[in-house]
Amino acid sequence: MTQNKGELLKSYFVPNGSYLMELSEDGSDAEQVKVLKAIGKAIEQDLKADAIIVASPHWLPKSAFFVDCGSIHESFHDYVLRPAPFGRRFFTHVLPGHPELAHALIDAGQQAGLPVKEKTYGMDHGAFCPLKVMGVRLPVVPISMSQRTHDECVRWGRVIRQVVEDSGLRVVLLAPGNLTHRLDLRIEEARDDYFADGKRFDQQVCDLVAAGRIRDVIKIDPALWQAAAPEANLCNLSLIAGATGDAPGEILQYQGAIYSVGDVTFAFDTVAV
Amino acid sequence: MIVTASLDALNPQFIYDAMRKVGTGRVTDPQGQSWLIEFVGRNDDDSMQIRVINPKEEVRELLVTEDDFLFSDNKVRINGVDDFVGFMHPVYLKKMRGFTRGNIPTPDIAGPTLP
Repeated sequence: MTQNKGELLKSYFVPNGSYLMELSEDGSDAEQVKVLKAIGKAIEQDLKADAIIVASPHWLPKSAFFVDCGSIHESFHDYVLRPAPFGRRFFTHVLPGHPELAHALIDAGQQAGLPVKEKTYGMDHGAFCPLKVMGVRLPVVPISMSQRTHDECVRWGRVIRQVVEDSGLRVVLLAPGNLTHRLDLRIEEARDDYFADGKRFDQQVCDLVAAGRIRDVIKIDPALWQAAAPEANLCNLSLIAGATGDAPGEILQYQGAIYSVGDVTFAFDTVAV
Repeated sequence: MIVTASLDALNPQFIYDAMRKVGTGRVTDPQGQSWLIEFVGRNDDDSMQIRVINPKEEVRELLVTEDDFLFSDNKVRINGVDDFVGFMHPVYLKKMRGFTRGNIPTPDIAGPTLP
């Protein structure tokens, strides 16, 4: 890779529901969509990123953190296709990969003593939905979120940052997910109310993230955590904590959606450690 | 050979049940008969317990890894089930392939937790 100092430009925690692609395609002015499009524009035009590392909350193996080293990444369908007007339409997406950065991540992760391995996977909707709505065409490195401990996710985040800084590349980390994620309680029709435990949980997470205390998120009352059932157990936030140096997150938008899904978008700078 | 080529959203060929934590593939063999592949558990080493149910409803239980699945564009075989070859729509075949590699889809049957 190049000799210039690399930089982790920004990290983002964004929603990834497949409905976002429909809203975008239909020209919706929903806040989640507008913010994703603005992030995509910023990544390409303002930050002038070279690549995006994307950690899907739907790629949840147990044995390791996996990295896809392919030179091209095709999406595959992994959400519910249902007939209109209730369902989600079928979407696809293809983006170039960045094999050199991907291999560097694996090497550094293994040297740090973490279980990091290569796997050909592609992009599930947890990765390709936000990227498609953002409209970015940059090379991506898909990585798994995995069912590992929060501590390992923080350490993996630190490794990712170090690899980026050593790479000479300008990179954005995208770790999609939802806060409250009770799909069993969701109600599709528009309504203003949102279930109480989800509201309390989302508020506590937002307060901690905004205060730069991401790693205290796991100290939230276990009963409330269980009631909210956050996506990927919020290991995505732990990954960001490690990568950004526990930076505070800026809340770009928040929607308590379809009664039981916490759609929030956080943006993080990278701070000195 | 029969190839199930239509993408029928009302009859998905791979679904995830988050109540039971089970993924189920519905596969058609060259004689047009249906087989079920149930993914009933994922172990810490990412090996998987599966149940293969043939058209006579005979059940075989296997411990497999993702490498035991042999996927082509519209066809799947499983090491250890020599009499099985099944066709799926490519969209659902890729969904099942993703599941063997650690994907947890949006559930068709939602439960209080994921995965």
